[in-house]
Amino acid sequence: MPGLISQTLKAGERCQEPRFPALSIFRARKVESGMSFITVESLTKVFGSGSERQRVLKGIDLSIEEGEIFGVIGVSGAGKSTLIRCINRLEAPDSGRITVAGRDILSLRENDLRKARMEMGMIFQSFNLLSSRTAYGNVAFPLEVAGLPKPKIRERVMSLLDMVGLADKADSHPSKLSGGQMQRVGIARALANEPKLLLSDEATSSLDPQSTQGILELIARLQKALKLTVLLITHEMKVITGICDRVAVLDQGRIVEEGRVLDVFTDPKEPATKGFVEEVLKSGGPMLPDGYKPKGRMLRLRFQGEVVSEPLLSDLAALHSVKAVILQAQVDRIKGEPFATMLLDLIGEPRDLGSATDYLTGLGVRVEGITAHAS
Amino acid sequence: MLLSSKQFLMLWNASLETLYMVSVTTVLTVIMGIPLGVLLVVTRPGHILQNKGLYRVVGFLVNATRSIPFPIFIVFVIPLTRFIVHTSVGVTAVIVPLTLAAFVFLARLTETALLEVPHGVVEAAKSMGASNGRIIWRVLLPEAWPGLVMAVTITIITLISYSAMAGAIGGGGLGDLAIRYGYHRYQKDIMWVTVIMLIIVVQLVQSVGDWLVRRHARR
Repeated sequence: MPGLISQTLKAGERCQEPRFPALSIFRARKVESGMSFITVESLTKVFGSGSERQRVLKGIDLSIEEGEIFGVIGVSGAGKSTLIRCINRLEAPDSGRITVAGRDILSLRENDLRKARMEMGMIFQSFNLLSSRTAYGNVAFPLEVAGLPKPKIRERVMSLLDMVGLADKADSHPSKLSGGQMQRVGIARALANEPKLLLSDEATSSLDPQSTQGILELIARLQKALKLTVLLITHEMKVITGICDRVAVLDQGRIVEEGRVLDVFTDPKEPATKGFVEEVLKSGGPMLPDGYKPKGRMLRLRFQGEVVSEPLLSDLAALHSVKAVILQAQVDRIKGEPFATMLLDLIGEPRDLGSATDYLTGLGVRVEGITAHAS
Repeated sequence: MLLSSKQFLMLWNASLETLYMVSVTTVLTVIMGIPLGVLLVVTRPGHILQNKGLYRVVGFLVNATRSIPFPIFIVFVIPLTRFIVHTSVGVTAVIVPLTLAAFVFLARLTETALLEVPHGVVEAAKSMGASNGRIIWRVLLPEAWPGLVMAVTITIITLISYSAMAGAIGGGGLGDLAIRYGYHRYQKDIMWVTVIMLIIVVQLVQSVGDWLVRRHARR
């Protein structure tokens, strides 16, 4: 389509940075001060009609700041995929409002929508690479869409492939690549037109744990280097705890909990959130040794920060007349910060147990009494 | 058993007629059938140019055309044939019913081939800001290439077979020769030679199609 190409090139000439001529939509507008990079207001979506009517999104409100990695977690069917697909309008919501960089996405006309999409890269669970094209050809596709001349495309594709560590696989077709490599191509392709926003739709869900780790590290690295804002959806806790700054928990079409990852997962309030926390603690509830009879009070402790490296139990025993049986203990990392969970059977006089609990709470440890069941 | 020079000439002319009918029809069929197949895919609900009404109407017309047995179809479209080529007999006249029957056939096969392209790939192209035209030309058609080659191969073979029925309106060609001389006049040698020639031609077409698909798959 020569018309389109010459138009975008003309637009590019007016632009201050002629290297990527398509990028104009977001740059042209000043973001109102105090406004988030992405805002979602009262977003609803219904699938089907009549008796098969299904309310997938029941009024979603979200604000995502520039330069953060924001995760939405939910079980399958919670509506998270629909939510992320509404951001670049692969899905048309029924009502609500979405702005990206101050621009009202839902009111964009076809042409402007296509330009806006060029500035929002997206990666997918099934990679969605063109099987008829090589890794090179796949990364070149969005640059062709943007109307870049061939030599520029060549230069840019090679640097993108290099950026994701696949410079030597330029001539490989997707059928010759591993899942992790395919997703790297997907990431290079999504970032080809230098978007400010990366949308990730379950990008690691079909990868093995090792590839998942590699892709997460790559996303985190690129997010820093390119100052990207990342919105990702997942059903895997390790993705959230691995790279996200903030998280929203989506349950049956509603956001039930939202906040900093560390806060949400060290102090989960909603059953849906607790479910995901249990998952990362690799236990479906307290697991006691066979035939174990609690001698005192069963407590679950959660703590993070400096307390993790304190001799907590020794201090507890020394300062208060209590003894602790450790039934379970684990230290995880959330975005690099250690976070400990411990299941104790605390033995002592009720008065001492009370003061011990107060002592722990005073140190910032979250203490929760539980009724345990043998496994 | 040797053919007389008269028989040889008949065979030669019949071969040229078949070649003429099938090649012209193939070109017309591809030009019309593949776009119709694309239309059947992109107007589907949920696809890039969804249009329920158009999808249903086109689908119905394609099915209706395909319901009519070819010999009857030839007669059925005689008025149209007269209108287009100003005659209803002869090799050129056959091209009209052949093309009409074959292009709807190819359209269905094209539709099947294009539906093999995962919808996610189309969505990925959309997410990159690709226009519908680009999605059709640069995503759907290249991704479905092996299926399309198979579809065209099958269509050409069907055309060779259909062209044998063209004798009914003086269409000529190898199949016609086999029926008129081999069947009606009991000249079994002519029948055998034409049948063997048809087998060879069909094998050749299929092999070329398979080769094109294999060449693509090896990449």
